[in-house]
Amino acid sequence: MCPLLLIGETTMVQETTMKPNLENYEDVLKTGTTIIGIVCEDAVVMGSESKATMGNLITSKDVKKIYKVDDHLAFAFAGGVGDGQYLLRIFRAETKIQKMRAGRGMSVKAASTMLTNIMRGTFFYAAPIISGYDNTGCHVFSADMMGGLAEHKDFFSYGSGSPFALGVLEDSFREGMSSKDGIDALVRSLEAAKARDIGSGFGNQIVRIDENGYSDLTEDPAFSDIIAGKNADSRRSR
Amino acid sequence: MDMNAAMGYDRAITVFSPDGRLYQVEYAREAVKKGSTVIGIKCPEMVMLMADKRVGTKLIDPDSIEKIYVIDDHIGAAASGILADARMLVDRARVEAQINVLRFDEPIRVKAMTKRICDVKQSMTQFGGSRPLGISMIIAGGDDEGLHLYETDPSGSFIGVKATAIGEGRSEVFSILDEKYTDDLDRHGMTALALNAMRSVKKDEDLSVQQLTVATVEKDDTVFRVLESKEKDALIK
Repeated sequence: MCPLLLIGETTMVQETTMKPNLENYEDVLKTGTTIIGIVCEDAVVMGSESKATMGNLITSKDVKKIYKVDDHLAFAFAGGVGDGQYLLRIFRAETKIQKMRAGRGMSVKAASTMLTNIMRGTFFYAAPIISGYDNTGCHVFSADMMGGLAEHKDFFSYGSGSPFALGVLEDSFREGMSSKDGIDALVRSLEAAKARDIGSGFGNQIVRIDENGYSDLTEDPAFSDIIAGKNADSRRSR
Repeated sequence: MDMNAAMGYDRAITVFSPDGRLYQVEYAREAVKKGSTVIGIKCPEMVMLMADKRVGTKLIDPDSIEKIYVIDDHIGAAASGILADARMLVDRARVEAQINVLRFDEPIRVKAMTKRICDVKQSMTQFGGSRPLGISMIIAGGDDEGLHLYETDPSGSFIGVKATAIGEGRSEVFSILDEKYTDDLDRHGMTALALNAMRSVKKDEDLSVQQLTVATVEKDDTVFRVLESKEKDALIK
């Protein structure tokens, strides 16, 4: 049964003229962005940089790429901004309705499954990472552009900067690491991605979700040095 | 047509009676009169819904009774009458509220939400096959135009109110509100007035606010909240 409650709205999606073209799949990796999610012991952390590009033009230097959904989920995407924002709106609307119906928030798996059900059968030029905390703990899920869902027990990254970020994380990630170390690893991965990927740049956005809810640490003065990479335990001096 | 003439004008809802009435809608109003009491009341700083859970026996789990529904962050409603109909209508309302967010990235205004809910009710009084919904609903919410309180009936008409009641206690509450309601009550005065009215309906001077479901929207943050025990106590002081 399709969970789509907003069926009149989402059938707009069927009118897209883009046909699923597997050659485009690699293009998603080429879209300018780096988004990362890491599962830590006490929280899930998500990071992104804030550059937006259109060809050679930098269209924005301070994009917020990680979005809060309900009180315990974070959503970020790589790919076309229009499709990504549309997916975000649907995600927010459907999770809210389910929360009101059930009296409690959806689990991360349920929300991700619902989103990929919506994505299936059509082509969204956007690949999301969904992370969150529920009564089974911390989770990071990713979906490909046609709605293929995967859970990551450790970490994941999408976007043009993702190969560099994943390289740093392969070396830095430790199972059961604290969210403090996770944030440090996020910052180092983002700095590496920004150093080598032209599509990623400017400031970092870091978000943390645990049993107490969602916090965007980017505006928190206690974290500003860490997020700016000043304390990053890296061999590269800044 | 002939069959209707023989059976009276109350069989098909799509047919008017000779004196211009829709009997099924009026019978639906009778269903509402049997429902448990809900009071809606407004003061400058807050709008409130107070619902009688009507727990007749210790065998019922009072926590499982859902009388007040959240429709969106800033709007909620309580209904009286056939509560299964209310549940269906609230679900439609929730979807409509999110459709507004999907389309416009904006929370739906309370009056617009009320009209959509009433459109659903009206469509069930005119198109064949369905019966009217046997509920009246009080909708409370806050938006950029202020605090709102609307009452709707089974026909799909609505009216903005400062204070009202639906269900079995309606006339009793009205006589108390008529006498004692003023525009400049504060939140404590308003709560006390509503609680006294409810006590009068239930014929129980010791009825505690903890036995009722209460929800409020405050002027400052326009968040529709179903209150917990501590918050209900704070309003009584």
